[in-house]
Amino acid sequence: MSVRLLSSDSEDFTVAKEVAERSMLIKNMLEDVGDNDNPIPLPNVTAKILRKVIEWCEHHLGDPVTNDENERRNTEIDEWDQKFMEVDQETLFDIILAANYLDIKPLLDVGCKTVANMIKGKTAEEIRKIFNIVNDLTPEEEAQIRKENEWAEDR
Amino acid sequence: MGLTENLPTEILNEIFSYFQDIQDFTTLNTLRQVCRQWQQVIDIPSRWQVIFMNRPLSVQQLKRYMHAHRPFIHRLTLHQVKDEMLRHVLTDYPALEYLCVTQWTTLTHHSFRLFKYGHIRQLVLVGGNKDPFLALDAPALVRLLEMCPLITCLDIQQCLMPIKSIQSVIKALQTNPIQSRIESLTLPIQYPCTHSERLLLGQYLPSLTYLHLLV
Repeated sequence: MSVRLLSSDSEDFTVAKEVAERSMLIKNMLEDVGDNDNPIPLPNVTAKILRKVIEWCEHHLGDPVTNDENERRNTEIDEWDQKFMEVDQETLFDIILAANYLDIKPLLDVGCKTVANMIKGKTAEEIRKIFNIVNDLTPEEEAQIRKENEWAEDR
Repeated sequence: MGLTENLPTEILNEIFSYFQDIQDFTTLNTLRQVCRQWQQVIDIPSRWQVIFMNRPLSVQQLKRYMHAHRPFIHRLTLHQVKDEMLRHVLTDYPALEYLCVTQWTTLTHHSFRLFKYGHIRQLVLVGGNKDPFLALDAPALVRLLEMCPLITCLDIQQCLMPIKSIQSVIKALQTNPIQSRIESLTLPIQYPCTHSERLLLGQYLPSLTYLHLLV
């Protein structure tokens, strides 16, 4: 059984049903509409990202579904996923957003872990540089936060 | 263009939760300094309600990690602490309702001295394996209950205490009659107590429904 998915930029993808069903959103949609030939429109996902997401779902097809919170409690990522996530930042964030929208929890976890690992051990300034974040805190607020954080030394 | 601006709060929260899960408070404190959005996501009170410190810390370290979040902490678990730490947590964490301290070696009544800890409802003190000693005699125990007027559960385990019998606790309660809501009391003690002692204790601690003596 296969399913047709339509990306936001109107590219038509045909994938195995069990691959598509890694997405809880699609799984629920399929349950609601039953079997028919119409493509499922995914207005929030471009073809470029959908291709990546499908690649991930195909690779992880056999994965057992785990709800184990302890599994989440480490930031280790398996080798295949690490390679998979070696993309530019915009793509990485688009994958995370797509995983969130499509409700593919394990992919969302891998994406978030990847970002968490990019953050780990960096200073605030380095993090701003990496993610191109504008510091919108006023100097007073910054001083206040620093004071809160370094409160122990002040005493 | 700042890419993270496009990430909804829920996803940022998800990312930051990894540092929460591994109890990496240093990183969380750094992230608060990045920008306003990140600060707001880090400071969501629910993130700080339940804190489990799985390694020994100095008071200074705890202050450094927790200062900004103290008002939100409801439940706190600490390991291998000394009097100074216990006193700090009991006095400086205004919302703390549940405190569990494990693997300490020696704690004295100095931990509980002087202040009224109006907020504490459950206090769990579990010693370690190197003959831990809780230097809390019967009068000091009664004073502790007095200082924690909301406490319903006091659970002291795996340690030695200088309390011989329930008789001495009753005596202390007669000398210092207190209003206590204590419902559940677990204590190491040297001698088992009689039925009549149990009844008498109930008169002084009327809410007490569970008394577990570790003889």
